[in-house]
Amino acid sequence: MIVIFIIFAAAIFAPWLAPFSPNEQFKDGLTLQGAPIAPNSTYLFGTDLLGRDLFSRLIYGARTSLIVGILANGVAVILGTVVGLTAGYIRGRIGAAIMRITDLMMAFPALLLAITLAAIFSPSLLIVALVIAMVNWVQIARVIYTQTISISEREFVEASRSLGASNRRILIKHIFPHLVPTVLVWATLGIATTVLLEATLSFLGIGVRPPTPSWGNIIFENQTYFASAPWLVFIPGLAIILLALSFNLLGDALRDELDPTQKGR
Amino acid sequence: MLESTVKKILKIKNLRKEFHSASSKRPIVAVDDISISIEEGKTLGIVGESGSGKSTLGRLALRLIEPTSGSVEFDGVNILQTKPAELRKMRSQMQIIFQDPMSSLNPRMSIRALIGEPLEIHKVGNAQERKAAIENIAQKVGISIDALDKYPHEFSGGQRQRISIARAVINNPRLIVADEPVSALDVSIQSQILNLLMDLRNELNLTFVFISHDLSVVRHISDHVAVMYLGNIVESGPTEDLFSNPQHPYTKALISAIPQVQSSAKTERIILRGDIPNPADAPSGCHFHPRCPVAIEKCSTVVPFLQNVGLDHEASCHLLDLVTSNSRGESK
Repeated sequence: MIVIFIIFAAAIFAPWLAPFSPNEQFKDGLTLQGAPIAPNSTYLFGTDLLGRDLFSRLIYGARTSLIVGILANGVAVILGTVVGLTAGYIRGRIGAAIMRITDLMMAFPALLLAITLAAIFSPSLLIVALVIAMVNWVQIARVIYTQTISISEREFVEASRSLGASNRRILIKHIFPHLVPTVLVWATLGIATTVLLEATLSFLGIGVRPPTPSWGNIIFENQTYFASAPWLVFIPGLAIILLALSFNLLGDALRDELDPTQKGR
Repeated sequence: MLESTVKKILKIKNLRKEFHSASSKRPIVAVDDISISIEEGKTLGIVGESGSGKSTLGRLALRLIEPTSGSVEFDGVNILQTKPAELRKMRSQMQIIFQDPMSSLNPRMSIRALIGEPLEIHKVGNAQERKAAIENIAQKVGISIDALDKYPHEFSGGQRQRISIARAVINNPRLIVADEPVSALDVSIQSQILNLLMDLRNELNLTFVFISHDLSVVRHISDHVAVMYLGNIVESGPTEDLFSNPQHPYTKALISAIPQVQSSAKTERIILRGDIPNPADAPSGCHFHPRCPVAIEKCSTVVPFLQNVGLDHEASCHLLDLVTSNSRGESK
């Protein structure tokens, strides 16, 4: 939790925190031979291949990665929930048909799809986020679908119907509240996945384009300096791992809290 | 057939419900060509074992399930042809009380919200009026007002059933289908709830369809009883008539099995062989013949139909043909 908090704080307060502008190149940022400098007192995490301060880039990168991650996840969750809910409530042939289409989308290998889409549309932050969302929403839809079906078969839904409740009312007042825990869990856990995916895409060079920093593309840019300036790769890598881990733990904790059957563990 | 001239609030004609399952080729006939009607203000008890189709019939009567064929008239209106929006409005007049008090209440809603839901759905009154109505009905069913903001899991089974009842009557319905409303409760609580139902019935002039497998309960509360077996009504008649003079072998067996409190009169218990058959594989002719202690050959081939055996009293059994043919000219 603390880690997440720090990262979030860093992202939000980036402009004030970062000692230097992330894109500014410094003359003394490079050694005489033009190689990056190791972490020292001026440049906390050292500099990268172009002499930019890694620390600052990392902080700004946090912002980028988080925005993309949250946006992507948000879209995925909303899309997945709406589709799953609709399919699950209507059921029958229409519901099944919707889920078949969903399954079809799942058949696409995530990365391949992302690469293709990124190649077609030149990647801006938004595009990257949407690409990730396109890939991720299917899982959520499926889970929501099965849950919706099982909830709509419970007797209190039949009771509401017998009272004369409209479908809209049943969906909003009765079914959706029971889905909230699941949605919440996916919302948090999903961020870990989306951030990782963003990092992967950027690392492959098809995510966020430099000079805008994102943790993935920092690694990407500095690949070749891996041996001589390992901190350039390790530190962003570590940041990604920490973020993913923290969100995972948060999601797990949330799920245990909200699901009474899991409490026993 | 003697038809009373009093208005029938519910008229079911030739109602049939088939279920199609992947495992059997023939459809499962849960309700087989049933016709029955009730007068306003009366209580019809429907008795049968599990699998007899009584719960399905209850739900069909309210169109919570779609029938395969037949008609259901509520207050003269065929609800099977009513459009959804209109039907939803009509629902405030016909309510159902479920067997399981826990699962029929949304665990995430407060009691106040649950009881008040019908008022909200049908936009009755303003917030103040609704609050008053909820509190009023809660008191009537025996739920204290400070408990109204609690949640279902905080109550006992009997109390939850009271809550369900409150929800069912708050909007002044005319017909209530009670599907085994006390079967899930402790015996000591059962009589309380039954008395509550009867008090409400008298006070609000409700018409009840009371479904149960418990004959003694049905006897206590009903004006008219119908006995169901595997989708058919095998006998129906005024309560006391049916209980003192049962005509169908199945009815006789069920009645003989009622535990007697006074052990002085030792009644001969008719024990039925076997279990109720799988509806997907219903026996030919009279569905009851494999278990019937007095079945004759005709019973396995020819389906019996309901015949008059008394005032408003009918039964479907081939043996009755022998009776009526012996005592000539007895039709009423």
